[in-house]
Amino acid sequence: MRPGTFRAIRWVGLTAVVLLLACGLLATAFLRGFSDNRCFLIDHAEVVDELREGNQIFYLVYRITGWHDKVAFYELYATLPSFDTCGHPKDEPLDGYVIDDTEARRNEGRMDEGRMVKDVLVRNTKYGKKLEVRYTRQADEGVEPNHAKLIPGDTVKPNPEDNPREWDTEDTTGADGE
Amino acid sequence: MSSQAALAAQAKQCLAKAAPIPGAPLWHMGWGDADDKAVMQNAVDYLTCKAKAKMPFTEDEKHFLVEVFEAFWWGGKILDWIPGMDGMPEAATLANHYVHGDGKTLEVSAELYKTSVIVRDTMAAMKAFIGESINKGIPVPLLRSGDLNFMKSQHFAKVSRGRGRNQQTQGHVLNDGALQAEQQNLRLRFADHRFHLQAYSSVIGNTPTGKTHMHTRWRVDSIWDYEPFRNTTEDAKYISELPMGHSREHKLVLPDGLSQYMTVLGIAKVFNYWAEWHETWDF
Repeated sequence: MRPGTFRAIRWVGLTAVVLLLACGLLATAFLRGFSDNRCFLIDHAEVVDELREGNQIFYLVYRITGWHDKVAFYELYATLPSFDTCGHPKDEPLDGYVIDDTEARRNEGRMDEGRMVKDVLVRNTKYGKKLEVRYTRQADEGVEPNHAKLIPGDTVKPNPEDNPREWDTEDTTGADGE
Repeated sequence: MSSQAALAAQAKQCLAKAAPIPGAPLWHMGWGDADDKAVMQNAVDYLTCKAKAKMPFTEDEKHFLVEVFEAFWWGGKILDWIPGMDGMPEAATLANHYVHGDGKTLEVSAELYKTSVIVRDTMAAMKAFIGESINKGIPVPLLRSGDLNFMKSQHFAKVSRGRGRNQQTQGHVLNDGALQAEQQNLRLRFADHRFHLQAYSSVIGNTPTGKTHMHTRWRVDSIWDYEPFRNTTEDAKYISELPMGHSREHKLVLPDGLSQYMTVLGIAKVFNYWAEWHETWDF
């Protein structure tokens, strides 16, 4: 064996051991990080308002989900909701309502910044309690979506402009309070 | 103040609160303790400030952002490898393609869509519409979920919201004909939250029982991009929160505007992705 060969072999061996240890630590870090996370991304969810009906309190939640294509919507709960660390609800909501930006997405692919949430109605329908968002183009009537108020909707006439698909067919969600 | 002067002032403010850029974001994401969270969030906040001021980034800063997207890849893949976990193979691939795909169109697995409740229900509604139209003597070689005649039909009504459809488990079709993924379907939700479904159909012939035999090629085309910063309150909606570490006590808040700015920096590219599958059916 030529002089220095043993030292070279020892150096390569030690380097390999150090690299393997580093890889092991890195893998451990990844697994620690991801294995307990059942979510890829965390939903943003917050209780924004509540409505009392007799002894019952209903809770309005504002939620943002998705990654490159975010969707914001409201959820209605019969009890004060709690969420896991991924932002997922522990109990099923009574209803969910996507805050509709489809009109805007047809135009230049952007939100219609002139149309704002006014408030959120809760209606009694044959499908149970259902949410309906009222929109406005009046700046003084509009609110940030996470500041919307939940109000009883049975006495409020549906606005087809707000919810065009909801009310233009025969079997509607029950504006008549079925 | 002119917009250029405002940007210059903003740039100066950013530089005044410069934060060190961590060399191993994957490591920090994996361990995810309070120190890791602080190091990562400070760096992201600093880069967010620079992006809003439309400033150039250093090579280290660009490398950091690319590695954050590679962390998404690890996250999606590891979830997929662990039994009993909700895998995100497509979302992982799409994240990686954003920073390494050079803007090339990408095919994703049709299983992503075929296993979705809202896709299956909309396929049924579209087939009913196609069959009904053919019976009236109107061929429908191409039907999109956003076509007006379909959206006016009773078949569409079954998948539109407000018909007792459960958003968590069933999803629904929005007013522009886009299918909104059911929220419990995390695999689809993170890969493609809203998309249009297209059906290319042709009559193959008649079955022995006198039914019409059809072939349909189903297709979804989507685009992977992010909302830019608008410097309005809307920016608050467009953030992604990444879980950090095993305790999940900490999360990294990554603005979508920063992800979009990566395309301006030339370290990511917007791309199209698609899926196709075939079906034969009778009516």
